[in-house]
Amino acid sequence: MSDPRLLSDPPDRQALLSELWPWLHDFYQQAQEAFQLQGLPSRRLEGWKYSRLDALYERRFVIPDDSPVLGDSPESLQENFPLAGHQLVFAGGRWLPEASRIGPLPEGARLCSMAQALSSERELLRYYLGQVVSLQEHPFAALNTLWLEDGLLLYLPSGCRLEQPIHCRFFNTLASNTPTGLRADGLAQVCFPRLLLVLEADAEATLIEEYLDNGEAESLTVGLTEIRLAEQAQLLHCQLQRGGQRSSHIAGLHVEQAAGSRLQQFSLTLGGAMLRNDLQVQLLGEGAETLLNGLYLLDGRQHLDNHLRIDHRVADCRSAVLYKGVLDDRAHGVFNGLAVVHPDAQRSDARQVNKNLLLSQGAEMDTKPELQIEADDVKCSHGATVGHLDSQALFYLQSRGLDADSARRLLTFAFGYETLQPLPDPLKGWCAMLLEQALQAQGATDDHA
Amino acid sequence: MAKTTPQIERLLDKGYSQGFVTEVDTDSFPPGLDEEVIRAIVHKKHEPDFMLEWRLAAYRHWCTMPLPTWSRVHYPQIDFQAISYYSAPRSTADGPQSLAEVDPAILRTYERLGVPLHERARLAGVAVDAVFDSVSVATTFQQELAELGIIFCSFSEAVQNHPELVQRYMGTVVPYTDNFYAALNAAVFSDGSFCYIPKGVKCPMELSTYFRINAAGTGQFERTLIVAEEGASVSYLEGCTAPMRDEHQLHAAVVELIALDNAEIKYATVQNWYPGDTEGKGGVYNFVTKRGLCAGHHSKISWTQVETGSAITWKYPSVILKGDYSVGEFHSVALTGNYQQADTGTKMTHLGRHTRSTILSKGISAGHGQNTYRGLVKVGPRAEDARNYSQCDSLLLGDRCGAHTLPYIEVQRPDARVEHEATTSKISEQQLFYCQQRGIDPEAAVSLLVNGFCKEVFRKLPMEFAVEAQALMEVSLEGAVG
Repeated sequence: MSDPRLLSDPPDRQALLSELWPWLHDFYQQAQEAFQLQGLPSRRLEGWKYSRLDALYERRFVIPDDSPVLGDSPESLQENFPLAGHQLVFAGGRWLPEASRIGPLPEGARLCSMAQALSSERELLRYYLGQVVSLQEHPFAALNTLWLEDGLLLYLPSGCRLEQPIHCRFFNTLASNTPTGLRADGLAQVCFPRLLLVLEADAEATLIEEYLDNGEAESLTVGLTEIRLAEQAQLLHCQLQRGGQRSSHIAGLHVEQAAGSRLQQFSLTLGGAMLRNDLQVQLLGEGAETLLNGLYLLDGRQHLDNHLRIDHRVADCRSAVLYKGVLDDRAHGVFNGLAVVHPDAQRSDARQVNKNLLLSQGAEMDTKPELQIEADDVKCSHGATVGHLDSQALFYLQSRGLDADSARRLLTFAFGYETLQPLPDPLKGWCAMLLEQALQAQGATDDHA
Repeated sequence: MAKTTPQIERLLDKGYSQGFVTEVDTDSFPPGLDEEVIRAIVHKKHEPDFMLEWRLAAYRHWCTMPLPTWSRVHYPQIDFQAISYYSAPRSTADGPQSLAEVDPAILRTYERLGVPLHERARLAGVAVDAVFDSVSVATTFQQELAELGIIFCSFSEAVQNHPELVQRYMGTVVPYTDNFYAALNAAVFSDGSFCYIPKGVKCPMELSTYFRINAAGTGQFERTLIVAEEGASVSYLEGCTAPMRDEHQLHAAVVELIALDNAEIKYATVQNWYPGDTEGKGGVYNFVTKRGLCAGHHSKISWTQVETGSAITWKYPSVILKGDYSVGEFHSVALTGNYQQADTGTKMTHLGRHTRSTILSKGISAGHGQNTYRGLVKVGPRAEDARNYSQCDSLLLGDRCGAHTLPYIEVQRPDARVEHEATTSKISEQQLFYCQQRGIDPEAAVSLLVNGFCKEVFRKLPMEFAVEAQALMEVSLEGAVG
């Protein structure tokens, strides 16, 4: 059926699910056809040019059969949630109800696991699921759909404003019997979390997707998030990648925005082995606005490929992209931002900036900010830089009594902090703290400093 | 909104004054391409064996290559068997001996184009190699240049008289395996210019080549090779025109530049091939591979191009910065009107230490024109302290055109500094209003603003070319108010 690579042993969970619901059967079928047409992407494709996925393809992965157990979960599972609000915990792509806490919801609002939604919210799924993403163009989105079984559904009816943020924590593997999380058979785990966020007119929400490790086992997460914002809806979405050295993450975030809606998205990448983020935003209604900020701190042999595409389909939309990165050791960063202004999308305002610091010989950054413009009354610009810390600024700080390490850390922190600026307060403080910690950890292992 | 005003349309309609046909007897091969055609070209040109081997190797490699589809240009499939790969005015079949032997009809052609071939044109002070369809018809000032040791002649003459230089340098910067059109060119190129500046010589005059496609149903494939020895310097100009025809004509050229220690090469192009009519009918398909190699330390190569012609332009003049402290520059103005498509830019490959490059690209789109900047700045792991600055600006005139920017930046050095900036905008109503309010009519105002937009690039051109470029912009642009 699917590509024999990646998955050694396809489970029969899908068969069970789709037997109960014919619509789902067709849905899987479409995904399978879309995936078979494309296969796993190779570096010969322009969009995958800089991503070396071969190591992943050679590995055999399994979807674990066991149901999720909290068991003797590692410490990180209990790490306090930094923000008050709805807290959902997932392990190996499956929801852990006993570790989660969903507060009271306004009338008409739905917040539940995708597994629950597959049995109780079929009307909503039938209407919205798979509508935002094009499976024909995104092989990993097709793969995610093909193995869809759990994740999250958020539905907010018109005018519904969630006061408290929703914080989802995804641990890379199902907690297993060994403390390290390694499987006895040596196979690595793969999971396919799927999130669907639908905000009707004037609705408002904040959602955080955080990816963490709960052991030392090698793993792969192929995630997909679909977001649909109706007129004037507002969403603040954060994706935090904090995985370990052996967990890889291929994430898709596909968004459709109606008139006057506003998306603020922040992507913070601190950990993980091989990481790929596809962020696709369609601005479909006049006056829609999207602000995408990103920050990545890479070291070791980490690889991160950020692929952004924003389509200005109608007039008077605005998009702004600010991505910044710090690369150390032999890390490899890729940024590909594309703003497309379609014919007649007049008065579009599209801005894109990608700035990078390379800290060590051996680190590599490939950046490509693209513009495709088919309308004339536009304001579009993009900029990209790759460089190192300003030696004069370093010298100045040292002349004021800071040691070289602290000076370097301070400047790097300031460099990265710009991307956090638009976040609201408790969240900004927490992200700043994560950044600070990561910088300290990076400094501690550096000998070149 | 944003309709083109009548003035603009008039300007766009002004037409292509170089679009006439010269009636000369030609000696052409029938259409088609196979190994026999290549042998026939070699035979016709009395080329040595190494050329035959190289051409055949290129042809065999070309046969294995797929047609490139990655660029943002769209055109019907080219039937490579429907093109004649050799066409020469009959009277010059054996190569021009002196201007007196050149067909007067051809001389008149160049006169109409304003290219000084005639002896009296010495005053112009520019040495010209004139290429008419597949062959070079005349090269001026050869004698004067030879006294300094400079070799400036057609490629065919170079193959006969300086085979050792040709064999040593040809294909070292653009090997025939480089890309589809470079392979095709290597297999069938018929002429071009060759220039060799010996050690320490500063070329006292501008050298230039003027390319003219005349015959119908032919492709033009020329090859230019410029070598500047240690401490030498040269400034080179290239111009091109073609008659107006309804069918498309193929032009696939290769230019190789080699600069050794402390040498400097400036290469300027004013490309004005027939762009096709207002409905996009006809026009030249221009697929060109241009690359310079800064082989020595402190060498410098600079490309300046003004691209106003061709139905399709596909060209990326590049510099490989291999020598330490070498410098690469790219200055470009590309204008697309009517249904023209341009996919152009540059590649700066930093390999040596302390290398620097500057990219300045100005794209102007009008009518249904599609203009793409595609560039690569690559800093290799040994390119200590490399520095690049790129700026790409696009100007849109009219709401049916497109401007696209695809800069690739690949950096493998922590001490590199690479900066890229791009903007896209249109001529603002305020600017136009201001000019008109000061008594400048709308047409002149657009021309003024566009010339201001391109000024930084025009400034890099030799004076005569700068004037020509400015005039060309006015002709090509007439009527393009946003």
